[in-house]
Amino acid sequence: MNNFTMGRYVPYNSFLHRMDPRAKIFCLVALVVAIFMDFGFSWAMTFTMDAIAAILILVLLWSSRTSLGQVLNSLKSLWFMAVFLLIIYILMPVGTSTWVAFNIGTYPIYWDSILNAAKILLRLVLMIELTMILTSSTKPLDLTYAFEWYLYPFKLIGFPSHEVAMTLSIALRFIPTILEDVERIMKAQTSRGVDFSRGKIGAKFRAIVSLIVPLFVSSFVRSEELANAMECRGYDPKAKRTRYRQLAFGWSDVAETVFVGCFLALFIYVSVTKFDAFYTWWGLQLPS
Amino acid sequence: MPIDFSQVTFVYNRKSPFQYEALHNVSLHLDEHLFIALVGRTGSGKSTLIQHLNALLSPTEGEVVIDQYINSSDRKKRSKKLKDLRKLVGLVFQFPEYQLFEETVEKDVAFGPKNFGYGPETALQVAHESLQTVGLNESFYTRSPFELSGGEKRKVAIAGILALDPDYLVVDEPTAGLDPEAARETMELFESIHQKGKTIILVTHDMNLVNQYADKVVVMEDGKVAEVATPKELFSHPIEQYSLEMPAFFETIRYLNAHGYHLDETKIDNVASLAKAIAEGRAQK
Repeated sequence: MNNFTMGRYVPYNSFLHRMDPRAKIFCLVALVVAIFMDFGFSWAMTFTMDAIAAILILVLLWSSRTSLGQVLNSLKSLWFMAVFLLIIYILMPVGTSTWVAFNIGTYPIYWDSILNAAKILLRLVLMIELTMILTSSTKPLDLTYAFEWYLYPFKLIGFPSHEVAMTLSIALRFIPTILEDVERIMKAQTSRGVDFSRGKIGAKFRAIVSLIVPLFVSSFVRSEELANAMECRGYDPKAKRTRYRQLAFGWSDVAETVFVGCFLALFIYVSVTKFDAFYTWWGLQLPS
Repeated sequence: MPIDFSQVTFVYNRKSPFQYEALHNVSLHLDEHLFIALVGRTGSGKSTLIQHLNALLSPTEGEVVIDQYINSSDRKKRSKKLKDLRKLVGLVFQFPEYQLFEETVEKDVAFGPKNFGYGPETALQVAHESLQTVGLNESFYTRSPFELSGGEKRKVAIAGILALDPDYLVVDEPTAGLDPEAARETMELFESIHQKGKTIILVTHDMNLVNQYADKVVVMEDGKVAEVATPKELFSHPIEQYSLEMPAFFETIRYLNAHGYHLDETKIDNVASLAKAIAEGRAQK
């Protein structure tokens, strides 16, 4: 494949790659929660905390050896949503402040709204980079093992955790295969004169149809073949099975999890106590 | 006009851990109106090479010249209307039946011509002609391509490329997965197109086909052109180093020679002359 798919697993050997996938998923969730903590309308504190999170994530990005191109690529696919969100949030008044930035006609735009929009966008980007770190540093198979491990408790109430994990691992396994199919079919249709990158709406629609239909057909063929192959080897979803690769939770995993836990705790503390370093340090009164 | 590769290098996934050089400094000259076979083991760069012919890929370094079109690593030197190159060079991928998508066979075949600006009427007419060429009659026109057999599907897909009336026809493993009868029909089809003065480039692993049809063989190995020769020249020396199998024709001659015959390979061109030589050899005995 010539084009580099965003978030695809890249086999390096960083500490993130060596980390236990269960710990990694926990850390991801904890960090996302931390990022989305609410600090009220104290913008200085909000952006300080977000900057701390951003620095951590940049360090993680750097240490997972994710290339800058990949990061930019992930942002490029986001731009439409970003513009949409910015417009909505900027137009929507939030908070009680009457600090007007400017007027569109008679409609006032508040600074609070602009800062809020910036906050949301920044947090969204941070979250996406985090998930990208996870997927680019973890083998899909390890990810599904971790998911299955997290689903174990639900087995008690009859939740088919193994089946779900199997479905998930098959789905993940087929992403690169289907991407290859996409590329192959696109090339075949391009040879028949289809232009996927340019053209009018109508032509573009036909181009997409010429890709989607064969893709569906080959996906169905594949899934049928896979189902047959699994049945031929006597696959039974209910059977108890052992695993060749065992996940091992090491000391470094504990340390990393504890670190992320502390990080989350700090964010929760700041959020709950409405602790505002700026007002406290400068001896100012908290705005009520 | 001919095809010219000059010092073409192609790298997949540049600057990433998956970086892979598929073509390395390939220079190759192919004349028109020939039946050219492209052989080599899996991963030797055959598919990458043929995708340069209709600009699905552009070289990382070097350039490919096909008639008046230039497919170069340098964007400035690249021809502006490279899309038209795809009409000049028809590329039939391996297992082309997976590219069918229309409701009817005739519509699917007419899809290509329509993309190149034919009107709906002309496109259908061209589609019918090329369906006739591949041996599918009127009864197939309005059937759904998905209800056809594997061999018929492949014929429809090939007709879809033939409908563009390309001067160069590039086919990747066209006989893979076909029964011997269908495979022979397919090869006869390409041979008849070749007879009409078109250039055929056949990618294959089957040396019998190479021996039977090709005027010229290009052997690829590790992203380089290892040899360009006529089939006779190629098969006159050991070819195991390229993981190729000697065609049955030459195997037979050598087996006979090892068991008491004295057949002269250079004078035997086809099965008929082989039979004659064997008969003479027997008479001498």
